Amino acid sequence: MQIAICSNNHDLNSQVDERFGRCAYFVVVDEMGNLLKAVSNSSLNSPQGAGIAAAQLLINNQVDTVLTGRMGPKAMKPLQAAGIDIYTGISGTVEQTLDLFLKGSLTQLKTANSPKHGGSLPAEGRA
Amino acid sequence: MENTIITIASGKGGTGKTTVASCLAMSARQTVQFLDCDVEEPNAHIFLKPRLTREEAVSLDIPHVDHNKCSFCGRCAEICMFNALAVLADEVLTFPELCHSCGGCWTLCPEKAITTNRREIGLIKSGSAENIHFTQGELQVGTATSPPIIKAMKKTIQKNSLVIIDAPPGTSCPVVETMEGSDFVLLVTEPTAMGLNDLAIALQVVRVLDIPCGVIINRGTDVYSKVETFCRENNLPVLMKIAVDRAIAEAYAMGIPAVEAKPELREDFRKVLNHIKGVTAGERTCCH
Repeated sequence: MQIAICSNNHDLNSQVDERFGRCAYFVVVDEMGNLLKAVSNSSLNSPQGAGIAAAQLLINNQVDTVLTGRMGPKAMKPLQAAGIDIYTGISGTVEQTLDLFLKGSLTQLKTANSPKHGGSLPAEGRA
Repeated sequence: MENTIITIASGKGGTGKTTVASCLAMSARQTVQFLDCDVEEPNAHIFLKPRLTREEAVSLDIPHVDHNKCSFCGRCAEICMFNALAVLADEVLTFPELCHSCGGCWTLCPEKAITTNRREIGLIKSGSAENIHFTQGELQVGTATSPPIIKAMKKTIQKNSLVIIDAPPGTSCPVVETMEGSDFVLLVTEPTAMGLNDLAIALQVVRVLDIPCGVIINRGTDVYSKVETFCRENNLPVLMKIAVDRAIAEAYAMGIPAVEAKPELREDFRKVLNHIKGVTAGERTCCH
C-alpha cells in the first residue's frame, strides 16, 4: 500500500503540513514504515487549482491513501473518483503521523473539510 | 478620419476615471462611442443615463471530453496552466470555473476527443444617450475572468469614431486588456501619496504597452506637490487639473456629471481631447 503524507520536507522526520494542495512534498511510505519516495509538489505555487493538480500528481503516482489536515472540494473530487482514501488529523512528523494512522487514530474524510482556496494562506495564519 | 481610441485608467480606484471619461464624452463635439470596461462594477451609466436597448451574452469555450475517444493519456491535464482538468484511469474530470478558454487541451488532444461547450460569463448591454453610443460589460457574479468580456466589447468598436473607454482600476489583466490597441491612455490621479504610488505603477504598464499617455490631476489642492514633480521628471504631460470643488462633489453625490454642475469645464475637456487628437495625429509629441 502506498500512503502519501503531506509534509514540508522529504523524509520520515519532516514535519507534516496540514494543507493538501500547497504542501511542499508528499512523502510516500508503506504500512511497514518504509520510505518509498518523496514527491515534490509542483503545483505548490499554482495561481489556481493547486488541489486538483496535487490530486493528479498523486493519482499519477498510484497512491492508495492520502493523509492530510485539510482538503477542499475540488481536490477531493478526483481523489475520490480514483478510489483513493483520504484521512485527516495529521500532526507532528511524517513518522508520527504514520503511527497515528496505523493505530486508527486518524479520521476518514468523506466530504471536504476546507473551503475552496483553503490552502492559499499559511497554516499559522488561519483560525 | 481614423479611429481615435482613448482609454481612461488610473491604477488607484476612486480617482475619478468615470467622472473624466463621462465628461470627455459629454464635451465632445462629435459622436462618441463609450465603453464602460469596468465590468465588475460598471457605473458610468449613472452619469450618462443611456437608454439600454440591446443585450448580448458573452460566453467562453470550455472543454467537453468524449470518453469513447479518450485514451486517458493525460496530455490535457499536463498542459493546462489553470489546472482545469484531471485525468483518471477511465475518466476525465473538468472544472469549467477554472478554465480560461486558452484552447490548449482541444488543440493538442492526440485522440481529438475534446470538443467545446459554452459557459456564460457575463453580458454586454448597449444603447445610446444623445450623441453617445454607450456599451457596458457586466461580469457574472462568481466568475473570475473578465478579459473575455472586455475583448468582446472592443470588437464592437466602429471605424471612424472617437472612442472613450472607461477602464477598471488596478494594473492587472483586465486593465491591460482594456488598454491594448488604444491610441492614448489618460491616467487620472489625485494629489495624494497613494495616488502617486499607484500612478507610478500604472505608468509602468502604459510604458510596457508603448502607448502615448498623459495625466489629469483630479481634486487638486496645493497640499501635496509630488505628483506634479513626478510627472515633470517622467515627461508625463499634465493635461488638466480639476480643482477640489464642493459643487462638483455635491453633483457627484447625486449622480450628476461635473460638466453639468459646472458647464465651463466642457471647454477644458475639449482642450484635452484636442491635445490627444494632436498627439495621435503625430502633431505633438508627449511622454511616449
